[in-house]
Amino acid sequence: MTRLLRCELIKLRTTRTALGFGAAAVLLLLASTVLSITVGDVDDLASQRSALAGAGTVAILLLLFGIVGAAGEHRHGTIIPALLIAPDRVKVTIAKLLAYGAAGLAVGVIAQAVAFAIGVPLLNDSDTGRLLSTNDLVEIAVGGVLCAALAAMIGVGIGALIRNQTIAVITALVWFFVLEQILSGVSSELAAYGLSGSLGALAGGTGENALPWGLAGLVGTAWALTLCGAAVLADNARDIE
Amino acid sequence: MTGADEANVGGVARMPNRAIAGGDAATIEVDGLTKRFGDVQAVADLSFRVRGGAVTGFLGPNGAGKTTTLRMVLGLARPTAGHALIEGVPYRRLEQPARVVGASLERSGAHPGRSARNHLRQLATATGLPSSRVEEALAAVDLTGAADRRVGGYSLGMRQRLALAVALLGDPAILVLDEPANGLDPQGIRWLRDFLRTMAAEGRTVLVSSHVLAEVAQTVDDVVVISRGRLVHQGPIQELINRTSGDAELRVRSPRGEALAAELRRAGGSVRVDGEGSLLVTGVSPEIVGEVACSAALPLYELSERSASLEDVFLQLTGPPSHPDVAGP
Repeated sequence: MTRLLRCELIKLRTTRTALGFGAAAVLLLLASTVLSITVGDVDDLASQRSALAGAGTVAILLLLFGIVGAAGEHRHGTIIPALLIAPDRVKVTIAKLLAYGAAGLAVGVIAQAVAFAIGVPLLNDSDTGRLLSTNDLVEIAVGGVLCAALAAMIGVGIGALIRNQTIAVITALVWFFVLEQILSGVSSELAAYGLSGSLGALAGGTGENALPWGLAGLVGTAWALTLCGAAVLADNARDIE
Repeated sequence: MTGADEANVGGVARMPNRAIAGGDAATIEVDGLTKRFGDVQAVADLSFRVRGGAVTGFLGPNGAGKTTTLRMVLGLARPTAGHALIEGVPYRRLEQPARVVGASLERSGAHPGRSARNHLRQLATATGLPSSRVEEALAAVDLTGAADRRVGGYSLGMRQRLALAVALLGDPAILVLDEPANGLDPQGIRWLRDFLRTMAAEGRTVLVSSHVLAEVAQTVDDVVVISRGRLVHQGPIQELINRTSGDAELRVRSPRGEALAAELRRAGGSVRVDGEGSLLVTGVSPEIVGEVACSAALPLYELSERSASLEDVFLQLTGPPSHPDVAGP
């Protein structure tokens, strides 16, 4: 398993895909934070929390990163030599999940560090001043990093389940931006348990009926375990084209 | 794993001077292998055995089920029935498959944005091979100079060679190569032929698929021919070569063709006339034709032998192209 994990980490480092997604995630979180503070109103605790809790928005990028990584194996045929070298598909899929989880974690740490490095001084200098306590900042930082890691792993799960890369990406986008938005219109309490709802709350989001931070982490983890478990089982049973 | 293979594992860096015992040490056994895709029967009750140390051509027209069979042999597809064993165990149960079997399927399996060296490096890492093996495999397929270029910029021939480098990575005793000559130019085909000869000379067991018999005829020891997912012939290549000489036909031209035809029929030959008025004669030797013509004082303008080609024999074995309802993906 260690060898397979190292193999996946080499794969991540030797194409531009991970770098591109990582850079995009950092820039998006930075832009979201700066714009929220400089253009929006940050005169109460909830708005200041929202301004720094952009990792929920960035999660979709990391979700796509995971999808591209997993479904890309089938698109480029790289899954064939991978499985010829290591025929245990369960181990191969788990190694990829762990590698992408680690990559998501790393991107989350960098993105949150950059966003905090610029956002916190901006809040300190705002008219209201910083209302967020150190505990709030820790919660947002830890939640944002975990959210990034979970999103990348969930993406791997979706990409392993739906091997066609284009269909997998479209499915994720429709799920995030259409189905869960419709669900939110029908029942915001139910939508809070959805993928975007739980990841957003884990990252520190404060929307209507947002789950408490700890519960959001559990629900997000449950989504990751369910999708990744389904991916592992499905991958083991299907033929490789 | 056999003693010979254990020695291979210990000596993976010896590939350029590799020597493997032949005989039956490393074999592939396919028994009753069947694969259905819905209503489509891609492979039907296919059984054959690949001798250790021999180069075996796995032949059949496009859509005959060759790739589907190899995918099942390599554990990438589940058989509907039957089984395929490598050294007595299914591929997916091999402890260190890359050190036992090297395989190259139709697609190169390399990410276009990754260099060949990194492609091999990650695979070597996955199976615990030293990085020196990456350089040896690159050298074996003449790709060292282009190893740091992205695979997306490679020609088809270079991609095929990279796929062969992947197959050689673990210095395996068995190679399974699916249509390695597809898309190669004449130089590439010459290179591949030399490559296969080198692999054979090193004593490896090679199973190489192709839809063109002539492509592999000079290299293989045995052939397994399938058509519409079923076995139609298995045996030494020499058997097929013997068939071509057995079916020799003589082309005879004479200004008095009708008279000569009558004399040849009397001598026991079978004669028909082609569109140009030449006689096509079977059942008698060229010497008999010459003697008959001489004794009857009939002039001869041409006497030549036309053997059935290997492709003729191949087409006789495999019949017309597959119908869509039996062709596999």
